[in-house]
Amino acid sequence: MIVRRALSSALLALVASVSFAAAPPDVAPAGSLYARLGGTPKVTAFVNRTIDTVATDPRTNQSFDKVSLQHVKDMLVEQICSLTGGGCTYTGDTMRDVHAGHHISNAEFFGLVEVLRDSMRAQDVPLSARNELLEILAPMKRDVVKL
Amino acid sequence: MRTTGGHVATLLTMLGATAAAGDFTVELRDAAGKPLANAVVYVTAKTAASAPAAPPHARASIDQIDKEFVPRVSIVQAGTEIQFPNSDNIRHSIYSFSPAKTFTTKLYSGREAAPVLFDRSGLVVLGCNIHDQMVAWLYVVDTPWFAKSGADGTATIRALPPGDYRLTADSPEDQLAATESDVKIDAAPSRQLVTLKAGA
Amino acid sequence: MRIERLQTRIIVFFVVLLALVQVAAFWFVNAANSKNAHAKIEEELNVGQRVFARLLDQNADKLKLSARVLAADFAFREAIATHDTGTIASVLSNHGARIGADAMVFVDLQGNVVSDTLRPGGTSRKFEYPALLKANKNDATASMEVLDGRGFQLVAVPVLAPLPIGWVVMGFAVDDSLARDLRTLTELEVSFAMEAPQRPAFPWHMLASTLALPEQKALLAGLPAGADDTQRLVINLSGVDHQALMIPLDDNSNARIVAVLHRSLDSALAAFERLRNTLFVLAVLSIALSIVGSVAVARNITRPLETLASAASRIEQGDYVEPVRIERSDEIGVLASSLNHMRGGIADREKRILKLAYEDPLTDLANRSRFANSLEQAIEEARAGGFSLTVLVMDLDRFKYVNDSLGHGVGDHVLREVSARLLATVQSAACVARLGGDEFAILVRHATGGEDITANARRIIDALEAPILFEGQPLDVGASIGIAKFPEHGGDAQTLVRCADIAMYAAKRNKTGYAVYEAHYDTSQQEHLSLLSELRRAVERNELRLYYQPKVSLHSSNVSAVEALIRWEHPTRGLVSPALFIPFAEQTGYIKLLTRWVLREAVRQCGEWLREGMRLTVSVNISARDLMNRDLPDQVAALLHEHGVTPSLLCIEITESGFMEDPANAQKVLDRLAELGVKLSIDDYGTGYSSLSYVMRLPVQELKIDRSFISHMATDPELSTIVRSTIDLGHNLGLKVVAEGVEDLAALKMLRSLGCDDAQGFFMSKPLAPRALIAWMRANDNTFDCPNTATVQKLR
Repeated sequence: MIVRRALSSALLALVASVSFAAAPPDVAPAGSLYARLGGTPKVTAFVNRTIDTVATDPRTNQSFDKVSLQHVKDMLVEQICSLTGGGCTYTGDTMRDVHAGHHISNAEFFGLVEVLRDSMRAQDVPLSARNELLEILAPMKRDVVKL
Repeated sequence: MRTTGGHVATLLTMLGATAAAGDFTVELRDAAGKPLANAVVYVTAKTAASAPAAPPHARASIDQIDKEFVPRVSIVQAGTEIQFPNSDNIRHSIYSFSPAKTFTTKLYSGREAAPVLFDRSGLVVLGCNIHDQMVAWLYVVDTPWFAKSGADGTATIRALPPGDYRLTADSPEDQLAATESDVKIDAAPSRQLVTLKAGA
Repeated sequence: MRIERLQTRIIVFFVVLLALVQVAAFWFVNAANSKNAHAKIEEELNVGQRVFARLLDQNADKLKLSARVLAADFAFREAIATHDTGTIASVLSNHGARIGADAMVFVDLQGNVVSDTLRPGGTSRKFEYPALLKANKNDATASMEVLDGRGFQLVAVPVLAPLPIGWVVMGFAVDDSLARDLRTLTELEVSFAMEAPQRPAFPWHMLASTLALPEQKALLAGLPAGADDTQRLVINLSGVDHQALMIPLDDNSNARIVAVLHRSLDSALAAFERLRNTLFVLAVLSIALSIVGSVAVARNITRPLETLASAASRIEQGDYVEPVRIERSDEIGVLASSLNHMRGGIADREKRILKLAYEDPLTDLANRSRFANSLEQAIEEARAGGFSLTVLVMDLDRFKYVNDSLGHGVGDHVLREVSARLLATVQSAACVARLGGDEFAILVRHATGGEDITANARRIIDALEAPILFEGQPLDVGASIGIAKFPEHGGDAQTLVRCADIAMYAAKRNKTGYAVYEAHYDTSQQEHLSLLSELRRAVERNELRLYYQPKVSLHSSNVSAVEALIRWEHPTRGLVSPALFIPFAEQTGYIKLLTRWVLREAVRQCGEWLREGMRLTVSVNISARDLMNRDLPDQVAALLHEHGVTPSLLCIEITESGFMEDPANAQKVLDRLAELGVKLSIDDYGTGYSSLSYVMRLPVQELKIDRSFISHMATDPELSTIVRSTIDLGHNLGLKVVAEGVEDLAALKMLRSLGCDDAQGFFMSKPLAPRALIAWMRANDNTFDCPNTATVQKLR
């Protein structure tokens, strides 16, 4: 019993620590794209705006039906943070797994990309940083778009 | 004259096997008399160790259809493995924090996930990390004698051996309080009305 | 003086006007400004309120967002589900630290506080604000509450796993730094206060404020209790009024939290004050400028006006020469040029007026007044210079005849011609003037005294000898000239002219052409003048008498008629001859009165004689003037009636020339007199200008031959021929002929032999007083024998 409890505690602590380690940092590592994107505050902001927008736009919202937007936002921030040198560990599933079965079309994909770009612009993210991020995210298309 | 069958019956009875088990139908109603569907009822023998354990590799299934657990309410005996087939094309990330089973499992589209063993009794509330509305109640009980009510609010426990039992009924979807009561079962099929009242 | 006042008036007017405008503008702008300032403060408060509300909402949103993120966090949910309070606590504090939340609380479904970063540890307790924990799954509630005696902006979010397992409550402390942040954004002072009804005496408690402590107390003191909605207040802090908005934030039964946004009116009004001061300075400056400006304008106007005024006064004083020198193109310039034109016009008109005043329009000679002026001036100069002057007054003879018979056109031509000849003749004259009518005057200066002063007169008369041609017809015009000399005949203009005039009349009377004034001319004139006034008195004082001269019939020697002749018994002069006063009376019109008197007296006397048994026809002389009097017949009729005299006993004698003066009217009067039955007689026949045709028509009964024919007829055959013809003429016309002026027997005899009817004269009797006449009549038995031979009875 005690062992079990200790084990579960340890497990939980691990999970918690992993969660914490996965959490986006307060201060972005200097020079990283993550920093140039504006760090956690801005990334969170434009990710929030992007997801809120695509989840309500009729052209893109059917894959967000009943989906926990907060979860998506958290995971997306985590992913961007990890992809842009923010020091996070992405704990989410692969893009293929995430989008499997959603039948995302090209239009939906590009729609999201547009919204993402607009949201970044709205957050005054510099053009170079925006383009870099989009370059990083671009290869995901083949995993995301599946008709 | 005690025949062999009779002796066997007695032996079985002494061994705890049901000699002449009957159906126990419970009518589950709320305070207003409305039949409660998807309510669970189970009986635990008062006398210990008279309940047979669940057969090994007992399986149940809780599917994910259209971003909902189907069925929403399930009741299984402890030791049952629950399969999560994920009929949705999209993935789910199901979890539970219930003390009876704390787990997370990712159900990917097109991939079969390993079933999860529920070996402790208790109410396990299942959720999905991706789809907040998905919720399922899984009652893991230490008794094989359980049933779920249908649309008419009746749940029938088959071949319940006579004896003294503790009856527990709960209707999780209706946010009514679970009730417990003692019930004495005899051989003949019996019926009981259980009224569930509002509670926390 | 006048100009000064105008200048002052302009200046005062403009300054007052501008000052009024400035004051009015200042007042209005000030009022508007003040209104604006207060409105601005209002608006600022409103804006501040909106910003404040927005900031609080933003805070709440931030909290909600963060709370939702936290509530969704898997690890957190796991920690809660597994009652891992340590993990719960650390997650709460980490998350809170990340967004700067001051309070992080996890409350379970029963409302128990599971973990609280604000008050960690401690016994289990219920969350103070269970009302907050009511949101459904997707919502979050925000509220302003008090925890641990401090104010917090709280947000509560349910944690789903997947069923609600509790609540995350996050909060920002309402502290001074929040208040200061809010102040930075709203520019209003911000205070958060809590009202705790448990202390009714001093219910308010300050949670956070941008004010210093003493002022906080003052603010709290100024807050009203128990307000439910936003209120406007004015609170006095440290002697300064603040305009405040009290905004309730979340109603809670336990405690009320309000935000007070306020701003000192001073600071708000500071800008307004500055503006007002600037306006004031501007107003003062512009009034000063307006004074300067209006002085300049006034000068600009009044200076030229001064010039114009002095020019006008120069013109008034008669200086028409100097033009007004103002070169401007505005109204004053127009006025100046008008003044110049006027000046020119006045000068022209003055010349014309002078011309009119001093020139005779017909002849262009000087007129009477100019002559008088020239004469006066000449007299002064002569007196000063010691030289003499001659004044000639000339009167044309028979001019009246020319004017009447040939018309004024001819008359004017004659005058012009005469003027021209005068000017040509007396070129050296100082002044040649036409005094009026046909009277002219010449003034001659003499350098020395010994000149022949009559030379000019002679030359003039010679010049007028030649007839004046009018349309080819010659007209003879003569003149009489009177000459007077300065200083001999008078020392002033009036005297000299009068002397010349008198001399002229003398020349006219004596038909000498010209005459130099002599003193004795004057006296008769003077005498005449005084005589006239005495004559007036004579009538009143009964100094006039009628004497009667008998007319003797040459056929019967009877005396049946007398002629009444007027005599004047002057108290001092004695008997004054009618020849001395009758002509004057005729000229002055006094004759009418005399005639009336004569008629009255004659008729009366006739009536008296009639009653005494003496039947005598009385003849009365009347003048041409009397014949014009249309009332004469009525007057005569009245007299006859009054005295009971038969009309045929009255005979009215009129001279031949008397008839001819106005034949038409005379005819009428005579006809009426004839109708009365009065006898009519032509007197002095042969000496006047009558026409026979006219005489034929007159209703006269008698013709009297003038004495000039009778007195020498005995010795002059021509005269006797005339007398004879006249007697024949008279008889042929059916008239009785009377001879006047019979002075000797020879004449008497001859007259008798010629057939004359009656005779009158000194030979028979001189005019006698009435009693004397009666005596003579009685003595001669009413007859007068005309002796054939020797015996001559002369009666006196």
